[in-house]
Amino acid sequence: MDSAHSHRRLTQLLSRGSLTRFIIVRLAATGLLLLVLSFVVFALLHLTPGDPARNLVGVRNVTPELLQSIRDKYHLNDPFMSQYLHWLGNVLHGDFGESIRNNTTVTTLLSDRVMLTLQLSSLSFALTVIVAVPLGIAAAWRTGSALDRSMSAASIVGIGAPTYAVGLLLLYVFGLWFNIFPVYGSGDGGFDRWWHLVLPAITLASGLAAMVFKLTRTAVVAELNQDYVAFAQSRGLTHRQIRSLVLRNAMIPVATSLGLVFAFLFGGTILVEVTFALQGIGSLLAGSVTFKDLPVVQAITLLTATVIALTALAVDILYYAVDPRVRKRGAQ
Amino acid sequence: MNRGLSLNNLVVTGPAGLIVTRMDLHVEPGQTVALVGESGSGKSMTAKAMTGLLPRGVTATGSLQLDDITIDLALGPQALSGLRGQHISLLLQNPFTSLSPVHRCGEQITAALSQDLRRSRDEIRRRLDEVDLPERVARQYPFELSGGMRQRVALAASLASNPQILIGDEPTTALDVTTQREMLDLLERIQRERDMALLLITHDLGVARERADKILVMYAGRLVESGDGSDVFTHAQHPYTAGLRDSDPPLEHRLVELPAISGSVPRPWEVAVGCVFAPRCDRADDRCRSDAPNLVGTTSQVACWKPITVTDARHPMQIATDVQAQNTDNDLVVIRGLSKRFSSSAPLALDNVDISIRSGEAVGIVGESGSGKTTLARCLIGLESFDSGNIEWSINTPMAQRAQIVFQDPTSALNPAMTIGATLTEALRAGQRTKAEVVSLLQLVGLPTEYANRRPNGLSGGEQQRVAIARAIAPRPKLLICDEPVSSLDVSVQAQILNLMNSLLKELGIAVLFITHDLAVVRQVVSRVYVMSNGRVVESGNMENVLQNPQHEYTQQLFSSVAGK
Repeated sequence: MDSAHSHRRLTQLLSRGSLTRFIIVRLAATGLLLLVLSFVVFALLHLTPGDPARNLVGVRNVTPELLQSIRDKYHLNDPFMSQYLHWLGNVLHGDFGESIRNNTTVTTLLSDRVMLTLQLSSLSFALTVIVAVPLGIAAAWRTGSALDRSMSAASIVGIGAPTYAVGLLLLYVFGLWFNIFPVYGSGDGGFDRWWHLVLPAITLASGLAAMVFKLTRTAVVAELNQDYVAFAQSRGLTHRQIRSLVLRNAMIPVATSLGLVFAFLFGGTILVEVTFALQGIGSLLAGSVTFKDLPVVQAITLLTATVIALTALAVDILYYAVDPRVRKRGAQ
Repeated sequence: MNRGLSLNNLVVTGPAGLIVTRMDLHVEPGQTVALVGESGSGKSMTAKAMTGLLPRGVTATGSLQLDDITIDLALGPQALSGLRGQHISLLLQNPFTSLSPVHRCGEQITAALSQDLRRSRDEIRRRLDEVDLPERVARQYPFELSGGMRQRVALAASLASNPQILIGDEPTTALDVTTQREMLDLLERIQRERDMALLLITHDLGVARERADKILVMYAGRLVESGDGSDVFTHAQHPYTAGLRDSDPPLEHRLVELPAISGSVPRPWEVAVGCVFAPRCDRADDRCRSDAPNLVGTTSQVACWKPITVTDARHPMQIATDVQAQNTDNDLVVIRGLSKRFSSSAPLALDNVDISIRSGEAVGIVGESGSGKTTLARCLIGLESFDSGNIEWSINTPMAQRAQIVFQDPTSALNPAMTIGATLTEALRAGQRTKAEVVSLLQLVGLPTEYANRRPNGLSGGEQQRVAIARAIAPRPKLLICDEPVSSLDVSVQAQILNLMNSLLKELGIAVLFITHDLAVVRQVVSRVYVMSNGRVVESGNMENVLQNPQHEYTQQLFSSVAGK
């Protein structure tokens, strides 16, 4: 009796069109995607020209003993697939091996830096959303107004200006001239850390905010031209009611693009990290590529891909929540 | 108290010039007034001006009088915001776009109600019940409903704040014939119960004739004639009204030639001097071309220097005996047991369809949306695959020379970047013919030869459809498939295209498969007809026989739904 009940409950949870089923299916798809990606990332080591063992030695003196010990450590004499499975097992336990450049494990090297990049992207993302979305809505509502025209012009500048140029300009004005913000480094944790991240975050946000502004404006303008808006007006609905109708509809494309923005941010901090001398994964990746520090490159690639895939998953779930058509299509 | 609504001296001006010129209108409570006209006549702009919903850059002057309130339209849309909803409400044409896709129907219906009524389940049930919808609809989203049900939801929404006058802008045009009748009946019932005034804007003369107490005829932004009910058409005084009436194809018989009005509707601001209709009027004289006539008369009004009187002889219409197909034994193509399903959960789009077309024969397929008629056409021409059954052609030529297709919307069917000459040359090449034939093709479809150098966007809808037909016959196919070829055209232009098709059939001797939802239209072209419903052929036979003596229940229902015929 009880098991019949729980069985029914389970069937209900997993029935077509239910949110649980949707999330499970999408999670499985994301997992599969990451698995394929991990394979490609692992293959990098073997696709790089030269002897993998020598590549892993880096700039150290090559002795036959050292090569042999590396081959043993990384199981380089095993068949390819078993090497991969071994590596994957370690990765799943958070072990990406050792950095070639620094004599520490990749995991220790990354842990600090991932946090910084996450903080930088989050701050930048928050700035982008807080500034660009309301402005985009306001500009769309008053198409052709002074606000709309000046913001559209500013957004062209924002999209066009190169990140490093904006960064240097901000550094000069707010760091040196007015001396409000620090010009260098990642700070000492806590509030100081965030304080150090303000200028880099603004730099990153400037271009993205311009894009998000344009996207929001376009989405809202498109909705405003829909028949349902005219119909709502003709029925005498209040301005507030009409705004809520429009924003609910416009939210769907905007939310999707915001997901992309975050994914782009996380993988695109490199120029800003270099300009502001921040110890994030962007600057680490730049250095590691130069020094052929393969384990680090593999780890960062896989990590970035995971963040992007999870963001995409979050967007899909959000989509499911805000668009009833997606929900019902899932049910069919 | 002055009951009802009056619109006085409305003038609507757009960026290019006048859109509506000096328009007066009066609707009494409980009365239905139809505003009839072709595209570009200014009927929709009149509705928008009355509700303060004119697009950006378009302004109105004149006044609107409702009970004791008089509103100066020149004050702009804000002046009308107090009237919208409780006094005037507008029901739009397309039920698929007039509701927000992500809000539940109940929420949209009750949005205009007061805060506490909005939450009352009784109120929602009552509102849905008024438009004959079950209570569950309140929790559903628009995309879960059929077109007819969505339009009922829209109607309930537009009635929410109990308006005194409802303006219906083509409220049934997007619906199927049978649904259309239900919707019109519903409107009539609600109007009677609420003693509400109804301003019905329509291009469909049948709907106007059948439903309206008073009909106003607009042409190129001007009111040209008005009068009581169907009198406006039976005793038409304005040559345009008479032309419109005559070019509307009859259902009872087939005419040798439909009396079409030549040319196409001008844009209102292009008419500088004289009567707007003069360039297309065969009664026009010098005065018509130099001075604009005013609207005169009491019960019925007409703006014409030379109105048609009862003594004027009406054009005799020649009734054609139904043409029987020549060489009746020679099948061009035979379709046997065709079935098609779009997805495993969808119902059959085509269910064991058998159809044959003989050489040189005009065959019709009649059905509503979702009947499978378009899918069948697409399978026949190879644009769609099918699951089972077969299509047997008696000829072995390449597909381009077997069958060609003409679509409903010529604007999207023609490549806007290509000149008409290039479009036709391309089609000629598909039939291994040469560029030299472009000129004769244009002549064949009644277009000036210099059109070869023009692009589609400079042409009217009727002209574009002529190009599309020329393109289809260019490779000399043995079968011409026409999928709703006149549905997007104005009545007066529709008649021209139907006449053109009939003359092409005679001249070229090709077979035609004419697909349409419009019985009167198909009547004018084909000799044999198949009636489709839910993917199946439910009836077939000689056009005359099917019409006189429909066997299947669905066919009977379809015929009885045709408005005003």
